[in-house]
Amino acid sequence: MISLIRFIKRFANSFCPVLLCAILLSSWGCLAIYNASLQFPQPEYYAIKQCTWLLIGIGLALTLYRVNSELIFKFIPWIYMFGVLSLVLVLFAGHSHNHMKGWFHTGWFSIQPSEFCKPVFCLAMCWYLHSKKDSEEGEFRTYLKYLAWASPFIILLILQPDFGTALIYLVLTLAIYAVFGGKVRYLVYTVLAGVPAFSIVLYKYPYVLRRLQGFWNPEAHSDGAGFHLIQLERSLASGGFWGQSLGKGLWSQGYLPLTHNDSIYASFCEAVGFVGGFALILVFVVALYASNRKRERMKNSLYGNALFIMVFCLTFQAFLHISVNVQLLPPTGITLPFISYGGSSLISSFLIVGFCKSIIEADRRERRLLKSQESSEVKPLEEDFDALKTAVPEKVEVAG
Amino acid sequence: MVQEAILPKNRFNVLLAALLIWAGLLSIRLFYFTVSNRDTAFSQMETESFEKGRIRAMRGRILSADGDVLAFTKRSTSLNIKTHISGSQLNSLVEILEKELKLPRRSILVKMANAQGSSVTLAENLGSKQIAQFSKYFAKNSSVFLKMSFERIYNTRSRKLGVTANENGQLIGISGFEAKYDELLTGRDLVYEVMVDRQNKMIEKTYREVSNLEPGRDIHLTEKEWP
Repeated sequence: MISLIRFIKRFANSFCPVLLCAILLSSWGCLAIYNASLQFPQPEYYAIKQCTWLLIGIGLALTLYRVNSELIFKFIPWIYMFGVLSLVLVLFAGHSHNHMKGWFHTGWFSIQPSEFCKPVFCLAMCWYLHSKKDSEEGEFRTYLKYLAWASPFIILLILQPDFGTALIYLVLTLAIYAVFGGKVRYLVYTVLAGVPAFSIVLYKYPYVLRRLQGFWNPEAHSDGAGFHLIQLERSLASGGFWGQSLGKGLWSQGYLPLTHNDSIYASFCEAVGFVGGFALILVFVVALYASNRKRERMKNSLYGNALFIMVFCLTFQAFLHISVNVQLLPPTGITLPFISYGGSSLISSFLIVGFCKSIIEADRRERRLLKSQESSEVKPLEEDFDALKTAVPEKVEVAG
Repeated sequence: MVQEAILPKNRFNVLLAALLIWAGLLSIRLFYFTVSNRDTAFSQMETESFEKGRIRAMRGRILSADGDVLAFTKRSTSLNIKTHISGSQLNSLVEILEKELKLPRRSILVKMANAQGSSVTLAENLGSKQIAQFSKYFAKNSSVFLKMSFERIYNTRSRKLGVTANENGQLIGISGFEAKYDELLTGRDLVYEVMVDRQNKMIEKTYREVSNLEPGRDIHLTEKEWP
């Protein structure tokens, strides 16, 4: 009986609130994918595949949670190298989809290395800046080295070309530098340097310009780049305040392209309405807020910053996806973490959850260790106090 | 490079605040599309995605006092295709028409090439078997559709009965009893609306009837003998 209780406690401890929320969100995502694929001949196909990825993701997150964070940070240069190597390999041996060479194709499933590299990138960048904390090197020099450390990922993604994911990596680079106390003017210079780079992209890839034109005036490009945006707007309108309920979203089934990945938020909102859509935004805001609170309580700044940045990565990606779906930004092809269809994206999100949990546990261990050290230091004092107490007589008679 | 002592802790709060503002903007935008602008979007959706269809009511018969049929309507069904479709959609349709309805590919393409209106007739006087085949393959596709035409047939040459004219596929009495009892004989057409998706397939769940079908009523005349 006791062992059973112990097992349940362990099980409950493994399924910490973060992991539980991620599982609930992903399960809801599987439903959303099923809802978005109802127009296909086999509507359950994508949902079943996503459930499989979900199980693998949970398994990996639980495994990572058991791994000591110190060990992960110890091997981070090697993991970083492995990540860069996978992005190099995909350029040569990868499979093209939508003019983008970013997948390893293996029959039943495809692997997108850029998704798996997200947690690696966050950890590697945090580790790099933390290791330079006490360096005597000039700040500008360190910043240049930091950019050089980040650039292989960004350049390789631009070569695929996957501009949406490259944008996430770029923003992460700047955000990590900012939270580690970097100079704001360097960040401004980097953003300014990005303007001519963006002009080159517009010149070299005309479809990016067409997307921008379609975003600016969807009605004028209703047969081309604006079509998707018009359908996104109408799917949201069809959902209304309370939504049409699952399986009844006709607009997303009949008109909306890429309902199960790039447009899943609009398709999801058609089913659950403004209420459900707003709740999803809130979930990501609360997650980021909670990670910041946790960071403030952490003793180890590297752990705290890495935790915040990884949750920031998920939130930023989610907001980017939602922004495209509510026409606040032009189409980027970014998926919604935990919800959109895609094994690589889902597993990568669960890897982040696993890393977060591992970091939280490592910090808890450190604090426990610190506490026990403190208590062992205090013990002799307490003993002295007890000895003093016994030496003092209980009743003191006063001569009158 | 970065001194822990001078780490601006506000940076986290700034990032958090930026994302909070972003979340606010997203929520406002979401509210605009799902609630505020809903009616405007809906009216555009209705005009662009809903197609109206009409099923003609069969014109009633004219019978003598003895019950002999003096005038009746003959219905014939033709198979039509919309001329704006092209590419892979056209190829797949032509393939089914050739395979299942036994229509020669060449004649379909020639008819479509020479078409002047928005649709062209591919086959006339379809039999019940062909209509059943049509329902099996094209029931959800609004690019290929059946058109019914009516012909009024008279078993007597009496002028008293009058004549009808065909106006937009509907028979209208213009003289004699046909004109006098036109309202009774005509009945009421079934008018429906249905949403079609981007492949022009009908979405069955959206089918709604604007008006019910009421077949034209038969009229019995008091005279027994008709020349």
